[in-house]
Amino acid sequence: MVTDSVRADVDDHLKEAALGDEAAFARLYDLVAPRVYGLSLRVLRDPAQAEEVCQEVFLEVWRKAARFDPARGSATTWILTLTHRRAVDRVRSAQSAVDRERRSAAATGEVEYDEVAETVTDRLEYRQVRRCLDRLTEIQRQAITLAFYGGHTYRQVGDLLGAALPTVKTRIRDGLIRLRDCLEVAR
Amino acid sequence: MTTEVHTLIGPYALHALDEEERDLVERHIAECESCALELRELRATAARLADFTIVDPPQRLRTQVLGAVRRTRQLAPGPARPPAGRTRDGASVRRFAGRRRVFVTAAAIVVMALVSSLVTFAVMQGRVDQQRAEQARQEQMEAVLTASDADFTRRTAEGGGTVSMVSSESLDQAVVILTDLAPISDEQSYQLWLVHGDRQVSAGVVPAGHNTAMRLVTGISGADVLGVTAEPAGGSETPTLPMVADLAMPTD
Ligand SMILES: [Zn+2]
Repeated sequence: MVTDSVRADVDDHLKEAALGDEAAFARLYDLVAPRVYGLSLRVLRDPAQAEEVCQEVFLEVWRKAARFDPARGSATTWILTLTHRRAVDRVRSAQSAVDRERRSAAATGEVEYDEVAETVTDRLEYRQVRRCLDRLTEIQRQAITLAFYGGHTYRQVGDLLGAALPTVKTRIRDGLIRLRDCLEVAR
Repeated sequence: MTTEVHTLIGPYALHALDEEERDLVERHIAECESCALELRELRATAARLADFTIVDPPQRLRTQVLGAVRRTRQLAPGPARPPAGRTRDGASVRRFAGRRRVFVTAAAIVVMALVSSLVTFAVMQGRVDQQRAEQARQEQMEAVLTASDADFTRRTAEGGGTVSMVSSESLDQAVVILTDLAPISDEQSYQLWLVHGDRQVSAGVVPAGHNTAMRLVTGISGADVLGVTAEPAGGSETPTLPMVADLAMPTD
């Protein structure tokens, strides 16, 4: 599968980059930057801030390359987890929350879900994720997309969906487990 | 309680918890191998959701990133992490002791140049006491900038300019650099704040009218955000909102 071989390449390039190989790091950048940038952009809805997050993430990856432990997951997962955490941290800081509110008046799950760049939609990875998201129940999908793409806490998700908190956290967890099985995420 | 924590693993993997619950989950994960495994799987699943939002970044970003990489030293490999559930507290202490002082970013070099010019200025003025104070301050800043756990963040400020911060969790200090913020009159000062939840503590006032400055900020532990505001000259007791910039304190 395309995705798996890309992920293996990212792992290899990170190993080389950990030895100070800048060319390997450039190859790693080319493979993961569209995901790092796209995810930051989706969460922050601001190209300038998305670029700042990318810059921070890639510098952190470069600095900490030798500390990466493959036993704890793939390099791609590590990098995207760093990206999501930094993007969400920014969303939660007061000023960017205000800016973001201005840019995106409507914050419903469907809006987050349906706004996708045309250019991506014929990619295999995109279609696979779309198919698996479609298999979730409505509330699982909305809870996950609001939290992940919207950068909301599960409490905020509860408010937005008018759902009880225990329901929201369970739906996020069982939704993610269903996604994991559908995507056949490597254990 | 354990059942409670288990249901939080999903929201935790999506960074959808508030701080208190996040701490709860992190403590549990350090001791529970099955939850640690579930977290690894759910994180990998969440990462796949980024396949849904692929966008090519601007070409200049590649140039910037690779340029910054060329000027940035890497951390040496750390000692292997202990398996979950063992020597958690001892391990975090050893982790700091085992690192070498290797981190110098391009920003840090710029900062060092700024610091030296301040010292030169003090010497020219012949103010020996102040020179000593500057030197002590310089040494403290150097320690932060070269700390093995130094973390660098930068934000664009409202009205222009940038706020950069190099922070060290182990030293509990940060160096904050304001560069070309919006010009202000002599009746105003930029002021730094450490934000702990809904409580804000002043972290230093920049001389009135200055829009470029560097400050050493101490006692950063527990702060969520470093904020910058414009205040009446000499600073205020509480920040005047909105903030000119805010930087999330790095979490590891
Ligand atoms: Zn457990």
